[in-house]
Amino acid sequence: MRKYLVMIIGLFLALSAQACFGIEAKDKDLFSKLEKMSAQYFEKNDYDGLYAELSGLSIKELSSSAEVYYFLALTRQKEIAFWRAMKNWEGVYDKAENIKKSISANLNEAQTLAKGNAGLIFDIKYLKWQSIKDDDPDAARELFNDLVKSAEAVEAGPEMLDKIKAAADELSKLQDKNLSRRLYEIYVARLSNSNLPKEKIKAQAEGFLEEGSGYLAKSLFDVYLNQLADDKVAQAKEMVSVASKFAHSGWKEGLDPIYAESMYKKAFDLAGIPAFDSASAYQRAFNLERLKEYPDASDEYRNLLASFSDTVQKAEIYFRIGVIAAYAAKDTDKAYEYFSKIKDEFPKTPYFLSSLYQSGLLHQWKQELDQAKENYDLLLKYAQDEGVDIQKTELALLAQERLKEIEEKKEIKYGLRLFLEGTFKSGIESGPSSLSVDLTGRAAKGNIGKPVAFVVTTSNSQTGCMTPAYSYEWSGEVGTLSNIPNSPEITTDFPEAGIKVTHVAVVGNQGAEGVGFEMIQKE
Amino acid sequence: MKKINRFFIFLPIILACLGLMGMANAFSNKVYVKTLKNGHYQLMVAGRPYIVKGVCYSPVPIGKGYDHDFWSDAAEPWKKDGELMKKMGINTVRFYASGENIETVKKVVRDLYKLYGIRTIMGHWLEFWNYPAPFYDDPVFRKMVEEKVLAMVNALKDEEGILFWVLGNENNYSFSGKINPWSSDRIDKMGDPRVCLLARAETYYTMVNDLTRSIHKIDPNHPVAMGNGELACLDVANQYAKDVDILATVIYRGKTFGNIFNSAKMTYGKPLVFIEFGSDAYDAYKKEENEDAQAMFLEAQWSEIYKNLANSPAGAGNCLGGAMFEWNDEWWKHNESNSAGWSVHDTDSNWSNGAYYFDIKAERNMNMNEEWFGLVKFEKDPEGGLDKRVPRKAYYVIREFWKNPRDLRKAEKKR
Repeated sequence: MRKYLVMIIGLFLALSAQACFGIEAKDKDLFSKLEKMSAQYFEKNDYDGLYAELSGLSIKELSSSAEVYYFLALTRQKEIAFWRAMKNWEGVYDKAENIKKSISANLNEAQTLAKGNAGLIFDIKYLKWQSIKDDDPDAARELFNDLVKSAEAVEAGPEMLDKIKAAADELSKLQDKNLSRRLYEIYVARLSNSNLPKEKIKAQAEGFLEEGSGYLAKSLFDVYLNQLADDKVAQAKEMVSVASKFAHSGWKEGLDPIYAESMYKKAFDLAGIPAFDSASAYQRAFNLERLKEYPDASDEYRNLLASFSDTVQKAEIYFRIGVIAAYAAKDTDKAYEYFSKIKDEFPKTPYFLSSLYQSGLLHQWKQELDQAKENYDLLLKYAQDEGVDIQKTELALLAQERLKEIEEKKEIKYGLRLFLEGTFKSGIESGPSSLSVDLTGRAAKGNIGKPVAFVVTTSNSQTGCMTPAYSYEWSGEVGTLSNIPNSPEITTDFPEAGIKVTHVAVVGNQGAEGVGFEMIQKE
Repeated sequence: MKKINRFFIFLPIILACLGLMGMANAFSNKVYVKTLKNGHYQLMVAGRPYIVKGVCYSPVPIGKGYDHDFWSDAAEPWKKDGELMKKMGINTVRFYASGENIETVKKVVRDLYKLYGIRTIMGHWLEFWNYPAPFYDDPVFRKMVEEKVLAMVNALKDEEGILFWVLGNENNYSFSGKINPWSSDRIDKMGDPRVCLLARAETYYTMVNDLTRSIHKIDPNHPVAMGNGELACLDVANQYAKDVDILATVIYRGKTFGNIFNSAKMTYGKPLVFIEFGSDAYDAYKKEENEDAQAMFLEAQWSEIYKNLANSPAGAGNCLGGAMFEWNDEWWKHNESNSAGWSVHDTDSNWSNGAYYFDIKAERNMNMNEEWFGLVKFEKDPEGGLDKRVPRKAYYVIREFWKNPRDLRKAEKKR
């Protein structure tokens, strides 16, 4: 009696679903209709309900439908996924075994029936892979390879392309980056073979960039750039243009600054300097500076000066080269050379005071006190001549502090001295106390009034929780922050334009164990 | 009469069997490291190979701190935990140190073993956190350490559940002077920091070796392991701590242990057991719990452990197993001195480790969440009873892995 009741309910459900969604056997839109029907159940997490309804369909005239078998499997896979999302691990690991068997059986049935339907076969294989990827990585690898082969083999219409991209997008979100890339590659290959005009490919790549699909954007830009191979200079110029979309601008973080540099390099190798203009050459050098590739950054800044002698950023570039020479290359002579160029050529820029202070500081550190005093005095004189309030301007205040040290024959202030010792004295970097220190300020360029957040990161060889306790001695230009905390993070603001040079020394119980510096530009 | 005769005929056999059972009982207490013909190492317990499928265990309930004496907890958390551990397949717990009241410690060790078959790795800090500092170069201090260690061993060595002893826990990180620094006039006079570091290492490892020899004298039935942070300074240990039976390391290298198996083999040559490894279950970047990452990392780590067990075809064959960090979340750990925080599941990170890449983009790269390492998480019991244990995904994933270790299965296929 009970059996008949279940059959009647099943028949009722099947008939009602067929009536509601207009589902019929051999229906060309069967997949999308089932998809629509399933979505309503998935929304309510009513997996048993959907399964019963689909089972009702499968025992009737739709029994030979691959689509129904596929959706039966999908229903149970979604149910397990729901358990995962709910962290119902007992369900996932203790109750799912039989469910997984039914998923497998339904998918096998679906695959047998789906012959010739490439899109559905792709879906079935993708679901097969999903259903076993956590339990059997070896089998999953083989299934994924099979999925990729299927995707490569079929003729890809727009619908198939959408399926491949959707799967790749989903994998990308699941952090299966390598797998998603394999599908993206097929997608890109199909797009590039689709005789789309290059402008359209470029537009698609830009679209992907906008929606945050960096990998896909890069792959399509590569396709686009390859289509320009007939004209090397044009190709190189476009490469530079693409690179600039991924490079650090200072105002915001670069999307993929390493990729950007690889494109800049390719462009240069293809066409040399003609691939660049002054702005892109500057961005390449600046991108390298943000990557802390200081020697290469310095080289690119100097190449830029040589190739575009009329660049409007000349004073800024002199200053950047000077600072890199001083604190990264530890080459004070080169630093003086570039700071002097500013003094000689750009006395009316914000970099003039900065270069005087930096020159003075380097001389003071080297105990060349007369030269140090000369630079600081000139800084103060110039500032006063220009109507700058030397009791409020940070560089003028720092210069006065340094002059007082010289006059009173005192050592340079503790935190700054630690930074200079860490930079110029050998031993710290190679000794048993060596520590890798990175100081980064964000945003590297900004308007006056926008806060800047500095962060110190360190690394050492211990991997456990017992990490050494450090103190953080900040020095140089630290902006409006009055009480600098002993912290690896500070947030401040700079009320004057120019490039601000900030330092930090990371101090352990044996003294300074590492140092870092940063340049922040305010406009 | 015939029956009586038969009884006398079988009496010697019965007595022999009883005798053998007694011997077997004594034998079952014996734990040792066996070196196989191929040079691989196997931990032997009761005459059978034993893979340490362990977990660090410190059942401090929500609201209690570092000073909580869980050994005396009337709620007997080890019984609920032991049951869950047994279901998961855990056969070993690691305690960092014994409690003050040795009788309560014995009870816990005994309960875990008798009720659930779970054996105990018992550790000793070697007074590392002594105030003002662990003066390992001072003979008086060393004597005090020795007395304490031997007292613990004497008290617990006859407990059937004891697996082996661990001396120290990352104490070697103090040699550089950066963590919990200690020294002596003799060492300070050496001046050069590198020379001082080596002198501290020699001092410490010599002490560990002396302690090992003393333990061997009073307890020949349990091996002695040395708890070292990473493989740091093992070249020195190789000269001065030759009597140690097992190298026990604390390792946080993310999904992979890297070259550690071969590296340990080359530098120290002792069998290797991990006494701390694992992953936290909190994503400090997304600021949300991440059970998937923890499970994935732990499974990958166990896969490497199994690859390097004795007789595994491709590995170093020197690994005895490991103890994951840790069984349960400990809510007191973020700021141990702030008792108000002991009732809060803190999400602030205390340290950084880039090998845990899933959340390394967290602010200042601070991605390791000390209060979120548990295989089970706690939920407060509204009626004030034992905190509810909620197994995380890793509990099930590792349970399944142990039922069917993937790399072993692959190895079988290759054969």
